[in-house]
Amino acid sequence: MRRARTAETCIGLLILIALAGIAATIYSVQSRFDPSYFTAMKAKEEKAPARISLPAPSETAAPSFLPESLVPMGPSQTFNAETLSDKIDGKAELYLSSGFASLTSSRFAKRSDAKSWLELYVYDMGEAGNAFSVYTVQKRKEGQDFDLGAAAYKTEDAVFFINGSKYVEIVSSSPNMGDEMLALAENLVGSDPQQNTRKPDTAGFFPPESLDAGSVTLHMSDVFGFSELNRVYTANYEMGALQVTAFVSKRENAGEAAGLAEAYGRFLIENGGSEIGPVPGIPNSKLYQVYDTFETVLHKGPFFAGTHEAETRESAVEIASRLYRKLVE
Amino acid sequence: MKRDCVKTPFQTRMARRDFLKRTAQAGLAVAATGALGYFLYDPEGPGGTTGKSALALPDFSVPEAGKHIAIVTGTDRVKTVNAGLKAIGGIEAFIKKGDRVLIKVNAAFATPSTLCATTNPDLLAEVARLCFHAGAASVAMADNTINDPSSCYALTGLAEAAESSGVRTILPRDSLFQEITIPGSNLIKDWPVLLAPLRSATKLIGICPVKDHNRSGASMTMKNWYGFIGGRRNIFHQDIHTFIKDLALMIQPTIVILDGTMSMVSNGPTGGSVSDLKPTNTMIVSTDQVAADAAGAALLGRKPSDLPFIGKAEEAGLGTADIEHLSPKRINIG
Repeated sequence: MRRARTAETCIGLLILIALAGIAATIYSVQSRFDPSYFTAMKAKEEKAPARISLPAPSETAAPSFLPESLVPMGPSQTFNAETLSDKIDGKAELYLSSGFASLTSSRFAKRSDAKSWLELYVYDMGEAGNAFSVYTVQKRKEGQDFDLGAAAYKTEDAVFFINGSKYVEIVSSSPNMGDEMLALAENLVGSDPQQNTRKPDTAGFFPPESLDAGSVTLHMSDVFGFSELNRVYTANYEMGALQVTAFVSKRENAGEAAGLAEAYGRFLIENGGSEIGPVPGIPNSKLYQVYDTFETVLHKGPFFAGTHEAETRESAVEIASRLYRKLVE
Repeated sequence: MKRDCVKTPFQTRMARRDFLKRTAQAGLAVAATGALGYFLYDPEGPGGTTGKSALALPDFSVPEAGKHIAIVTGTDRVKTVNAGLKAIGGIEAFIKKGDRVLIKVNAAFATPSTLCATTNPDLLAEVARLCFHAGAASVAMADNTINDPSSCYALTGLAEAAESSGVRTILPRDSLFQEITIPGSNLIKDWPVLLAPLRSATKLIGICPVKDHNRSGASMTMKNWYGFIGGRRNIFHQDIHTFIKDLALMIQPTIVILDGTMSMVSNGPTGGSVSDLKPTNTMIVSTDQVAADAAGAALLGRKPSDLPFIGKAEEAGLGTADIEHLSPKRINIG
């Protein structure tokens, strides 16, 4: 093979030196790599979003129930059981365990002040009992009841009510939208064929003396942490400084009620409770002590009932006795 | 007819063996270069996705600044957060000149800031101002929101606060996520994570409100990292406490700021009325996210032991639930 001439060797060396220089430059630039610059460039390439601002009010597609003072901020959205958590995240379980069918949400701005807005949530819970349950479980203590239908209350910035199988929330961005919220609520009840003309039969289970009527709540599942216990009404009684929670659940038949009483008793014992004996004067009843609290459990016909976490034995027995007498009626 | 060959100065006769040898060498060189290029090729470029991998995210903590917690009582968020940061060594101990700061806000819901379901806009603006004052080159905020991102940022007031304070808003585009596995985690395996903003940042600050939560009992600083998770993440609600521990394992923040000025004590995590709020007038600033949550539990009337994710995170060595161990600075500024 012919030996390379000097000129060829020099050219070859020059090329190698140039390649080494390029490699060194790449290495140097790469060592000062700033990912934020590239991320920013990439973001620009992917069309940087326009300035983020409040959705503009739109006159189009205003629903018939909308008061004149409000204007839609965009189309309404509907969520089913699969997508409910996309709207309300961890609170979805509460609705899903109570017969949830769908949620429709819409935002409306005040016509005279676009920065004041409210959001309407209409939960279709399938049946009135389910709607009553999610309404009562979330009821705010500071809420003021008002006359709208079966059950309705308002707070400083929101209105909550049930309308047939629907549970409705209206939440505003500022406290100056009280009139708009009430007008919207009245229109919704007025425009919906499932008007609330009958109150749910709830307080009828509980003896009225010292009952906090606003505390009646329907729990749909996992009541008191017991997975077999569902569809239970609870209510609070004031006994001087003490508060006692009473509960009633109407089962399919007497056998089911008796079986549930037995199962719940076992659950209490498994969780640190001990059986004291029958509640004086009440057939088919038992009194338990669970750590520092007292629990009574009884069954009468299809009813499973009792008191929960009373601070004293006397208060538990007193309310259980009243409850039993009411069930006998 | 015999062809006449005219030789150039560089042409000489080459043996067949020599020709084949040189051709093979050239072919090998080309193949090796091509293989090296293929091996090093990043199809997504910087900040993009590169496929599934086991990956420990950058550690944003500043070990030399130590483990601290400050619990400041007062009604003015701007004053309490300033006092809290000062008590743990000052923002300058954590943010240096040229830092690219990422603030993980809670912008989950498109609800008004009055409901305190999301990070308070004034608090975001003040922390950003302090970061810039300390020399940060950039401040960005990110969250993979539950509701539509633009609506969330706009309606919570965070977009306006960000714009006025020079904070860049990172919307959770698909291209910013990468499927990763966090080493040692139980549940974050081949799961999409909002990775690009984390890779671009040099410091990470979490800012979130104290909230009741229907599934986990509470939503505080560790739960706040949920907003870095993509995909159908609600499936993790089935084992929420383990998942929150995994989130704390995934993220080692520079600082966490837990806003308990108004705590959502019922109907969380969305709330729905100011009636769900209680004025607890407390700002917790810490370098230990487990300690911050342990302190925050009291604002909801709970003990750390009532919230299993705190114990799980402590067991995993991610911090301490015994805040006294950190000699907390308790400050009352009225």
